[in-house]
Amino acid sequence: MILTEHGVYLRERVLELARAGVPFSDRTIKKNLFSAVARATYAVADIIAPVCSYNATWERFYGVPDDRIMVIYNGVDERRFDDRNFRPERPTVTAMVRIDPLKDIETLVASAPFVRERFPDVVFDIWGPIHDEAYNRQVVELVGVLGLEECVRFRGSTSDPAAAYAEASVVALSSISEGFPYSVIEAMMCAKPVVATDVGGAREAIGECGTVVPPKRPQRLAEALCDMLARPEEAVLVGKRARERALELFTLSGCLASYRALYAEVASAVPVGARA
Amino acid sequence: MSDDRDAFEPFERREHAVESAARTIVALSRRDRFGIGWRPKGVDEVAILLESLGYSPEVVAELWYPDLFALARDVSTAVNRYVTDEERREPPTLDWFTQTCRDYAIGSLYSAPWIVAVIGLAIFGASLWSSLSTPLHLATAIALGVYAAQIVSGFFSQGIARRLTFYFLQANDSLMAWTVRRFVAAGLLTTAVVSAGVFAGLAAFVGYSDALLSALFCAGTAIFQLALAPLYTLRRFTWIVALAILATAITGGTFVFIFHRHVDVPWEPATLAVEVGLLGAAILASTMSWLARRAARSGAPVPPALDSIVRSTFPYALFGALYFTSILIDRIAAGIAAANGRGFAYASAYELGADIALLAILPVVVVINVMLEALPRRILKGAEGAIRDLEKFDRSMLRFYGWGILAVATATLFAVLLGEVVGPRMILSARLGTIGDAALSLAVLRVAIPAYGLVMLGLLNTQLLFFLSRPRAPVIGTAAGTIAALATCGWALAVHLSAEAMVGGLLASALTFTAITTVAAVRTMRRFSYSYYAAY
Repeated sequence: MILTEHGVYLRERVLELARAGVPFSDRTIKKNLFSAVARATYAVADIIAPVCSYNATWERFYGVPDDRIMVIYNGVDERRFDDRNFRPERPTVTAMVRIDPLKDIETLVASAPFVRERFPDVVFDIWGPIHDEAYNRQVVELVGVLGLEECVRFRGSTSDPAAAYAEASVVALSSISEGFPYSVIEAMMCAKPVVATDVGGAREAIGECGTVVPPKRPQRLAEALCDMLARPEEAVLVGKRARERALELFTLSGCLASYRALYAEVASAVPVGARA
Repeated sequence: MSDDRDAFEPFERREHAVESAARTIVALSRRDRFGIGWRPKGVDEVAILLESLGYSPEVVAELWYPDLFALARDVSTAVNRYVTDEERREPPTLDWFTQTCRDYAIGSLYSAPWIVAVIGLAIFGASLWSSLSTPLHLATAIALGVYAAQIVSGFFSQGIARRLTFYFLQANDSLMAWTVRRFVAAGLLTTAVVSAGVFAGLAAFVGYSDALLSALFCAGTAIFQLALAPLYTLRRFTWIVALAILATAITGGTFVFIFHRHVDVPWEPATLAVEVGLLGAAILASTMSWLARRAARSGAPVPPALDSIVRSTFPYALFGALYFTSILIDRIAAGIAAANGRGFAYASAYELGADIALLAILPVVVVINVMLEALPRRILKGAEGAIRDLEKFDRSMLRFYGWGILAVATATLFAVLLGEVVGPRMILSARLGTIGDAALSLAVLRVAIPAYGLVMLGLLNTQLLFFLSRPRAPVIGTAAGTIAALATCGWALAVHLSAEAMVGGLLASALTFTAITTVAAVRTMRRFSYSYYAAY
């Protein structure tokens, strides 16, 4: 059995429980249930394939030995996410996220006034479906409270994310928990500079080709965004380097080849009689 | 000197950072309305929150921690400190009726196994099976085993309760585990010795099979009672109710579906004893493993001297053993009377009357638990007053005690009426051998209910005195009660009175025990503030 864990299951469930405000007894029961599911799955899996090295630290904490962990990075299609060499007229900060508390869009919205102070015509484009209706209302309310209706635009889902990335001056991610964020490597593949919070595998993905900031720090996020927007030429160079890194490490073909090799290796270790 | 201070600065900074992280987590829990009682539990949850707050590997390394989890370990300790402070708030004030209902519900949980067993066995149609549908020699063996078990478990349950409560209120997991391990080990050893003694003592008179049955009931019952003792003290009511349901379902199911409501040979009831014992052992093992896991997280304990623990808990344990002895003597004497000079035989009719009386007295038990639930609130209210208010506080506590006596008396009266209405029907439906037996059961029932009511008042006194660390009067009360029961029953046996007369022993024991503890309780409650401060 091969377990591919895109986030860290237990970590995300605990954050959900924390936010949901469930009574203590429910929370304890649910946490124990989730914990039992996660630990049982770790125990029976032959190989656990996290999508970044950072997540492996959590799996080790939950008792998985090193020799059963094999990191395989996510990959994206380099033909679909291409470098369109497009520079938007207005400074544009793009986020490609579902509207969900784990993505902490409030922090991104809260950073907007700071950015707007230096770039009055800046626009924040938030792409992605609504995953949590209550949280969406909360974020929209925050936009109203901060008077950002002209600055922050909720663009909804898109079937052509590459086009959305192309319109960006810089791509932002403000999550409080991540596995190995697709939006980061897609943006990198599209040759866009990225500013992301330092959670999960974000730092590992970005390397030297972008900026990481602590989560839940709107001002720090704003500073990093302003830094990119203030030096557009350099931002373009950062974007080019990001695509080179993505082509080297995060291609879909590379990812699939790694999984195929892993499946073959595990399958060859299983006795013939057990395969039926 | 200044260099020394500089050298310590990084450590101080790190300590401040840990405290700050803990405060942030607690504050965040409040601000985000994480829910009533939501707090990070365990190192992993703290690590998750820290990570979401931006404690990246770089930040963690700056604080000289090898990884996030090492930081989380220290922060989780600090979080507990802040959470404790935050949770020490005044409980919401409820109107007296709601509060009483709430206390009644919580108080009922203490009697949950009893209630569950009664309801469960009634559902199975197996109520009072040992009294009614069992051959006399088996019922005799079972009764002797259960009597011995109650005295043994009474001794250790009280000991565990006293010491464990002390560490439970301090949230001292290490010493809780330490205490339970030692008391349980001693309890099991004593159970084994007493069970072996029961076997050895009876084998020559009743044969090996019945002696073994008696020993198994002694061991099984004692282990199960011993297993429930830590759960009571830790207030794990859900578990207590669940386990009582499980025990009733297993034994009731076996009795109904396997033995078809009738046992004829010793191995059949022995199976039930083994089931109860094994369930008790499983509960003990899981409780001790749970405590050990908690203790492992708290670090190694600094164990107190064992002899000082034994000395401090002995009076309470002695009370437990004497209490059960004092309320069992009449049953044993009734058995001797029923055997007509041939040793001891289970006195079915007498036991039936006494058992129904115990069921009728259940509302009184709950009243006591209501009083005990309300007591800490009363004390808290008094503790907030100034020194000049102490007299007023003492008067209020005496009044509270007076209300307690009145409540117990009222509940006992209710139990007497209940016994009058329901008792005869239950006795008649029990299909006893003769009309004479039914009359005997009814006579016993009529005396036993007020006698047990008095015992309950004595227990209320005892709990109040125990609360104030004054075990002397309850111990003297039960010892004197035991002597009174022995004297009364001894006299009744000497002049060849019938089994029915032995209930006089129960009444004498109850009167003695309650009189002594009431005098002590009144004297203590009149100077409650002094007694309270002297106790702690």
